[in-house]
Amino acid sequence: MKNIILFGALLVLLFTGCRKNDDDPVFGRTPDERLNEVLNKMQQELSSSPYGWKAVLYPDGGAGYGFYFTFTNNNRVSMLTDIAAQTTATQNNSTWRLKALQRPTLLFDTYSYLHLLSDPDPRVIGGEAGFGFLSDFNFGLDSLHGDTLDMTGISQNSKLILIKATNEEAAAYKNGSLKTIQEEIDAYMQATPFLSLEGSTEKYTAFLNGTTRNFSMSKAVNGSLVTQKDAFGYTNRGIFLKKAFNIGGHSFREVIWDRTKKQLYIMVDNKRVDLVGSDKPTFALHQMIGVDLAGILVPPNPIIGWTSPFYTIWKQADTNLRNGDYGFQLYYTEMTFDKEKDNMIYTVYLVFRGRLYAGKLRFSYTQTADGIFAFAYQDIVDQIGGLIEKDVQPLVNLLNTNKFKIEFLYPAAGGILGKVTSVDTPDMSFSGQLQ
Amino acid sequence: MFNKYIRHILVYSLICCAFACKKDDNLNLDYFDQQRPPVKGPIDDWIMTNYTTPYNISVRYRWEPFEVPINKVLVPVREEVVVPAMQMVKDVWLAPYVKERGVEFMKRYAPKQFVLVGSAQYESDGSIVLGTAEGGRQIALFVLNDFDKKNLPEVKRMLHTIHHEFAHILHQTILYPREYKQITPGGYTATWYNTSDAQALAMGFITPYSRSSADEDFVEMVSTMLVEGQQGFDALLASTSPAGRATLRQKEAMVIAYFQDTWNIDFRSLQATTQQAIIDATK
Repeated sequence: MKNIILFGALLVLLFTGCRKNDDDPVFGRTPDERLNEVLNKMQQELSSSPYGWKAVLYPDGGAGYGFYFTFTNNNRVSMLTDIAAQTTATQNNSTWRLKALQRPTLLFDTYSYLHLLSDPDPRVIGGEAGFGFLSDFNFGLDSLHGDTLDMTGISQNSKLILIKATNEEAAAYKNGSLKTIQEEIDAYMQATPFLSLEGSTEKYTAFLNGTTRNFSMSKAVNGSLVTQKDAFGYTNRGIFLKKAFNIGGHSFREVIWDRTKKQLYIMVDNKRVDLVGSDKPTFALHQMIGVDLAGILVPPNPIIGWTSPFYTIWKQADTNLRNGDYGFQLYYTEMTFDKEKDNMIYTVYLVFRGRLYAGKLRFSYTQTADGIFAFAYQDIVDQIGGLIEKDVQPLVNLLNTNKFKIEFLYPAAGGILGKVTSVDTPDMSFSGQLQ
Repeated sequence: MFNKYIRHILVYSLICCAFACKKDDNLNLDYFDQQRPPVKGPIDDWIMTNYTTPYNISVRYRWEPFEVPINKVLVPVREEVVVPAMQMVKDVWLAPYVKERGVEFMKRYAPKQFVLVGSAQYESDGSIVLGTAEGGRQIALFVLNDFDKKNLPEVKRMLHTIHHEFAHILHQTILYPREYKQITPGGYTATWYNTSDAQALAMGFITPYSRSSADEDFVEMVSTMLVEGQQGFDALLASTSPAGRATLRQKEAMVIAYFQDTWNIDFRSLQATTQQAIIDATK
């Protein structure tokens, strides 16, 4: 009997001993609680910033666009942006909300200026049909610290940075500073496109490309260029880069426009470093093309730098197109270089029934250290490229079968062009505007 | 023999039950706070009054990331078009059906949810999607950012879409007679977009898109007949070959019969009401 009771008691102990409850949250609170806390903080921060938010959006498709937002607590947002002249001055009113998706997410949930960059309709601002500029309008939070929110788009991984604006900044934006700054910088870059700056130990060159909205900074290392390049958007006082640039161990993320002195400068280690502008480049075009400069836009008529053998070839392509199925007229042609990918996209602009169309062809290219380029035709890029591929054979052949020098050309009348000269065929060259 | 121990077993079991752990967790309702429904405004009130309260239909105009395909680039609607567009949808689609068959019919068969998208949906074959219907529950309307009441072709295109999608819902509920598929069985093709309007009519298809499948053929007939009206439809037929015309008349007859036999709807009456509604809504 005693045994049974003992045994029984032991059994009871066994079955009633509690398992340690080890599902305490690692961070002290449940994920839902933490998510909620962050969402509350975001709601609070966004809608209670007294002077709104300055921001830059970097679509995944490239470039950057400056914004100024004012969020209210009843889910309304108004904004200005540097996308077009009207959008810098007239506030746009739409809605926003937060949602708990994989990360706390900010949704711009009705159409606004921001959505122009995502709009797949090419008639809106010339984005690619079906893709727009590969931008986002729903952003997951990466971090919220101090006055800054860093976010990433949930569809295309675009980057958005929001910084609380001050009273002065808000006033500047509302006064159309996005337009003024862009215009003033553009004018300055037209006159003196080649920038240089003195670091603590070495000299750098820089290029601010307002068309591609990219800023690049290079230094010569053992005869070749080492370049940092990234997208920027305009702010009330200059440009803001997607990532900080490194200059002699220090970093900067803004290039600021001094409106009085008409000069660009950066702040390095709290000291002002001016960028000196010049109309003469430090480096050769073949070093800059595909990096600082995107390419060359060749007009539909001979200009200085064209030779008649080239014009003959150009005219042949034009005639082929006019006699073709559609009766296209050859308009501008553009060579856009991407040094990273060793790609040159050849864009053929066409006029058809009074409207402008573009067909793209892709070449791969190589270049030697002293700037001799060789092109190899690869493929069509889009439908229209496919339609005109045969007709523009004279131009494609020229690029395929010749090696070229690509250099700066200084017309007597002023300005600067890019000139492409064959090293194989005598007296064969053409030129165009630098992009 | 077991009986001797049964008392012990029972007693110890009872003791176990008395001391067994009780998990003491309250239900965590924090999740519901995260839904954060946005503050309602005049557009939401209008939708409540005109769609949700009378017909139990919700209209999603604010972007919902996973309501539409995530592998397509799409943008939300502009706020300004929501009420004008949905007013027109109500006048030219809801109201005529309600007039023919009453509120209860639409309450039962109308899709419960509209999702509004600002842009078109660009497909990889170069075509664009203007509307989709999903299992009778949801209709997505695209290209709403181009909505302009005064632009009659644009308006007709949108109305064509909504009537097209609703016809899908009707035949997805009760199928049209299989004989319909036998009228032009060889004419259906995946590359319908290579057919011109004139070619389609001559082949006995009301639009190029109706060549894409028998289902699309059927709903294109319904939506064209309703949006163009009897006169417009007859004009289309007059413009093509006698062979095409005869085929289309056959299809027309089957559509009218389907509406009468399956849904007890006088199609000619519905057609006339719809036409008048279009005239009133676009003036």
